[in-house]
Amino acid sequence: MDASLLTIQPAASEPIYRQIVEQLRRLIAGGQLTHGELLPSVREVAGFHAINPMTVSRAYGIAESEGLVERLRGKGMAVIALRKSAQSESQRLALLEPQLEALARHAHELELPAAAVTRRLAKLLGE
Amino acid sequence: MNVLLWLQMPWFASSRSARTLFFIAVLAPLACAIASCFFSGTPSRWWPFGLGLLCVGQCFLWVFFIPSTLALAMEANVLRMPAVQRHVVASVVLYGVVSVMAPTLWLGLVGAPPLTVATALLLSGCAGLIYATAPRYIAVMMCFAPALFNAARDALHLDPGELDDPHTTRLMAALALVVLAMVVRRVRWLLLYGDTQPKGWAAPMMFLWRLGSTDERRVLRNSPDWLRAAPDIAGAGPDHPHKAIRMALGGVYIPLTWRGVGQQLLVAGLGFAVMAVCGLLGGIGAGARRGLPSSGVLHVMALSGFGSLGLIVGTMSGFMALAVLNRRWKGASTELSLLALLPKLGDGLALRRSVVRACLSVPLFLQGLTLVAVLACMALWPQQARIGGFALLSLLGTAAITTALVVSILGGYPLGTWRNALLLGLGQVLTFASVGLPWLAWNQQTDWAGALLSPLVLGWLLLIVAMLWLARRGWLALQQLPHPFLAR
Amino acid sequence: MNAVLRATETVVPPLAVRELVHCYEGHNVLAGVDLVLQPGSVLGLIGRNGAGKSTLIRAMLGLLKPLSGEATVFGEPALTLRDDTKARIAYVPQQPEALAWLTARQMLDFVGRFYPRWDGRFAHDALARAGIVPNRLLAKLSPGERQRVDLIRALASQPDLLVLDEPAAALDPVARRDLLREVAMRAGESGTTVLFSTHIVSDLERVASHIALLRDGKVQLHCGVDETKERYARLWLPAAMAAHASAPSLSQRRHDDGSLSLVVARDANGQWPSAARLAGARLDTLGLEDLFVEIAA
Repeated sequence: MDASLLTIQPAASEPIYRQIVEQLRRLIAGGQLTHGELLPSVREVAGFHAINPMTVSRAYGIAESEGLVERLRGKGMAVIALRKSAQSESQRLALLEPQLEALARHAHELELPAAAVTRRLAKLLGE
Repeated sequence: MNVLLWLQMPWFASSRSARTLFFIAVLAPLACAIASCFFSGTPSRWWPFGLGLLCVGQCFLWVFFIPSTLALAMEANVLRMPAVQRHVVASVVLYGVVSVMAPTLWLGLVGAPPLTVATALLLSGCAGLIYATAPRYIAVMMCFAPALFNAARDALHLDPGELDDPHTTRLMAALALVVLAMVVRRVRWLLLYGDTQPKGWAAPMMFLWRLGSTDERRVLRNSPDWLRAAPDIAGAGPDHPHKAIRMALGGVYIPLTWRGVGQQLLVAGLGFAVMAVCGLLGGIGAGARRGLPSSGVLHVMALSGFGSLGLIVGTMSGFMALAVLNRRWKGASTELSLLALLPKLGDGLALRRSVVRACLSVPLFLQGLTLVAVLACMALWPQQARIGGFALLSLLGTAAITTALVVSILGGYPLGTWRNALLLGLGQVLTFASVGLPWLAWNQQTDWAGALLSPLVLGWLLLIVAMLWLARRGWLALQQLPHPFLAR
Repeated sequence: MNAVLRATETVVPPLAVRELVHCYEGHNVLAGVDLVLQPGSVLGLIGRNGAGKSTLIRAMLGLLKPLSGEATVFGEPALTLRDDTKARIAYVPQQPEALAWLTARQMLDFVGRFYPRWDGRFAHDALARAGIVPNRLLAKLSPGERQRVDLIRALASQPDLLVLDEPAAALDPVARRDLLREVAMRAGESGTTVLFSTHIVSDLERVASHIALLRDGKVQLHCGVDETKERYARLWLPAAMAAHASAPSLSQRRHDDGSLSLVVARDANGQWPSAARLAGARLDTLGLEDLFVEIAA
């Protein structure tokens, strides 16, 4: 994997380390990172994006603790991509959480009844 | 027709120091002229003297103040503000008319021929304007014009004729009008295209006087490479902290290689050499008219010229060193920040000694050279050795003044530009007195000069004691500071 | 010795000030500033123009004597630093004008003699990378090039503490990115502590680990960058609710139509204030720039 695969938006309200972890999660879930693939070193990522290496190592640390990557001695960080079926439905549902929350908030602002929204959602999903 | 604005225009366009110069250079001759007119019994014989004073004032007016307004007009042109430019032009025309017509009327009333007066004023005004707006090399050559003119007149036995001769006057009037036309053309060209021209030797002198910041940087930026002396990096390191401090102070303090010293001497020496040659030629010519042998005249003039040059160098070095130090120790200067955080410069008393040594080195060294020059004069000219003694005393006094002022700045008691100038000016006046009075007393046998000699010596001694007290106060304050490079 | 200045027994904070007060031309520039830097951190000092950032930095380094208060550098009083402490500091002022009569090569040669850890190779390569002619007089360089040369001078001395006053103000975006990269790598790898003052907030978000906001002569906000983004948010209340709101806030702004914008913080349990649950209230998380504008405006 190359450091350019990650997109960093320093001005966003989400902290940079969180952005990195989110992107890693999505890349792994989407299959763009295969099992055992080595992540670029902290130095490479920090150098490419001109960000603090501490931020990158914090992100890698969180990713390791969530089980997304593991540290191989002498080589660096390697991806642990379990097969899709091995990831429980609740784990995959958790990935959708931010979008669902945004949907719920918009619906609340527009003062729409929950039933109408879920009906439309079901129709979209049912296709 | 905003006459008030037009009259005020030079005031707006000048910096604060230029405005004070206005009082000294323009209003003072005018005041002297008016005063001398009242006090002289015969106005009809006084008018050449008055005219001379007025021409001096006119020259200064047109060298410094009107060009500031022209610079303002140039910048207004660049900023596309035609209204400002129109007002400036109106102001210049108004001043031109008033500065020529008013004195002509006044002097005409006391009996002077108006054409002569008007021509003289017009010529001095144009000369001033040419000096300010012509390319710099022409302005520099103009400085030597009086000396060259004198030398030519004496050497070639020219006789320009009396001031009252109408034929000469008509010739000069025609010349003045031609010069005026040339100057007007040059000024118009400058207003339109002046800002787009490259700066450097071809730029007019007035660019140097424009209101702007950091003159030092601008001078450095615009100076050509061959004129710049090469600094001597090799010796300036942790082993010689005073040299490193000098390198960081810049200006006159930069340690130069021998090549650099040679370069500076060449450039400065060239100007002096030209003036010296002109002066000598003129002196020989004057001496020849009175029947003195040229070798004797040469001897006297060379030695006195040498001595006075030395004295001037002594004071100038003090002045320039103080200017550099005042700039560095003012506010948030980056040189001070650099020196404050530079390691291996030393600590405590040793550091303070290095700083004082660095700051005093250049002016005192130059004044020491002057000392050698004066001693040499005394040795070669034993009849005037007593005058040499007075010169030595004045050198000691100047050194004391310089030391006191420098240490005061370092210690945190800067006396400010005005008091500095006052003290240095006082030193200069006393120096001239120290050379002039003994010469008058012993060569011309003037009694009142002889009576003033002992008070002069006493005055110098008092001054030296006062300076030593100031220096001591500054040194004690320097020791109290946590470190010598503190921003004020 | 004050406990604030002595962070832990073993770790000496590279920079620390306590109750710094300084006056300049009549008005109070610093009115009691307390600030401690942790080693290895990158602190971004932000504040509006004229807030006193440069004065604070100069007082912290002992370049001026404050009216009252203490400043220490690596545990020593800032006004009387020892030589080996000075060798660990590098300071780049806002408009570097010193030694303008030397060429770039001469200036780096000259300064390099005083620092024991000077990296001449780095200086040479960095000059070449920046495209600066080594034999040109510093006075003849453009302001951006001048700034880059001074930054090279600071970085080549391999400092433990790097203090930059508005470093990126004169630089083009490429040069600015280079500078940020260099600063970030040094901080992350060599453990250099960096303090830089800026009003370009996007630079901070990339490399700073902590920010401090200087306003009205005091430090009004001092926390980690990530923490700031997670802890503060803007609460917008419509005009009808604005009267009922009683939330503790960092700043309040009333708009023309009567609505209120507050900058609120999560409490100790991570909960937003109750006013966030009022009808019609909106809570938005903020980037640093928006946060800064809300607080400092």
